[in-house]
Amino acid sequence: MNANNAVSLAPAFPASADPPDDPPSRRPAPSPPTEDRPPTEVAGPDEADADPDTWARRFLGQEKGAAASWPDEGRRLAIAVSMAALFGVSLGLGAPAGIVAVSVVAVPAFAIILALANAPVDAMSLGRATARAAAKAGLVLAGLAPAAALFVVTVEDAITVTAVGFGGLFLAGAIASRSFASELAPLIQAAPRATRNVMTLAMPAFLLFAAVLAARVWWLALPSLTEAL
Amino acid sequence: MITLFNRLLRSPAEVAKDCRADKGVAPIAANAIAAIVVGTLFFGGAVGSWQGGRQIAFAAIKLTLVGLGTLVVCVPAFHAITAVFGRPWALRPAISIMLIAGARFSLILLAATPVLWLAINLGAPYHLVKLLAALAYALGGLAALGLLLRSLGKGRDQLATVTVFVGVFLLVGGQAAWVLRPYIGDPRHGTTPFFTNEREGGVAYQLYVSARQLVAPTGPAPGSQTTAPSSVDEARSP
Repeated sequence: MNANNAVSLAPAFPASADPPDDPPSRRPAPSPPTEDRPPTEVAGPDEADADPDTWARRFLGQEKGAAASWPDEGRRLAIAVSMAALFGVSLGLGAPAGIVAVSVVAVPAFAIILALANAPVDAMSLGRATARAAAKAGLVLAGLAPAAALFVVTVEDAITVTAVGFGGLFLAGAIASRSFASELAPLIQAAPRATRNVMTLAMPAFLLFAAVLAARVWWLALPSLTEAL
Repeated sequence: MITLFNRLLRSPAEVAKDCRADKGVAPIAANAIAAIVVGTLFFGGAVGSWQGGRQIAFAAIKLTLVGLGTLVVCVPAFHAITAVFGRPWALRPAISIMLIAGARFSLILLAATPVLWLAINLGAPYHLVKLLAALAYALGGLAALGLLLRSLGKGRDQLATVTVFVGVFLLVGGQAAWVLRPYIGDPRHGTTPFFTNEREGGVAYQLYVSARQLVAPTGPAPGSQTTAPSSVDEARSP
């Protein structure tokens, strides 16, 4: 399964994806010895860094030493949008619209604010954070797509579809917001004190704006979710 | 097969570790599916024995379908949720972990089957059977949850991963079970069909209705039964 994924999706992230082509520094570290671990524990995510390379790891940009490039991040964003569309199969074609709106409208506006505050965040870092946040949102929405389809097909009232649909979108949005903020946090922490103070207000304001924008776009683009309201 | 069942019950962390390492997952998955089918078939049969007759077969088949169907629908969600919370596993380990959690759940149901059957045989009333079945499900759920927690490890976001996934699983499982109801057979109805024809909204809607009724009782709730209970329940009481 893993090998199949690597073959079929490798072109999406070719440079940093295939372990055989990676330089030794990028390869996953060998598994630590597990004899000292209590028998009831299994390796957590920190230790999971030693796990084999997977498609999900590459898609989410979690492989060690992965270099960002505009084509890679663009492909990541495109795949994220496609995966979000799976969620829309049962709810409507507008499911990826919120992600696209935030990426195309809100993030460029935030870039201007970052530049005004003289934050040490370049366009590549912002694009990388955006693409990876979108990847997480897209993956969650794709994962929830079968569940959403089950509800849309089987429930007999519109309010449940609304609750399940917006619940899934809210969950994906929250995970994406968290990813975006944590991706940029180290860069902002390295900024001068005045910039950090500005960003303390600007980042939550941006996340709030992005959430409202996405909610509004989804509201307009997914009429099946608003029928009951 | 018995060895796997023993390991699942006694040392689930070791089985989970094998799954994560993608080590021998094919036999583990096959045996786990067998455990799920057997556990839910027998438990469903016991649940249906309250009504007796063809309801035994109906409930056995439907509970098996609910168990397997819920796992199928939830596997993509589990894979996605674990990935975004820092565990980007391959799909095979994710599927096998879901299956062994389901197998552990079903083994608990299998253990509860004789208890439920005996209670029914002794003349347990409808609502007691419902509560016993719910209790068995809760115990099975706790056992599966324990395995899930061990599978995830103690790293970061363990609680968030479990909370989000369990929320999704409960919603999907509840809806899947709701779609295929009835299982025990409502005592207010003379015969129990394979599927009910009543339109009652859905499990989430009914939970909302019940909560609203608890907060502000305003007579018969939308979607609730208006027919008076028959004496079937009382007749079966010991």
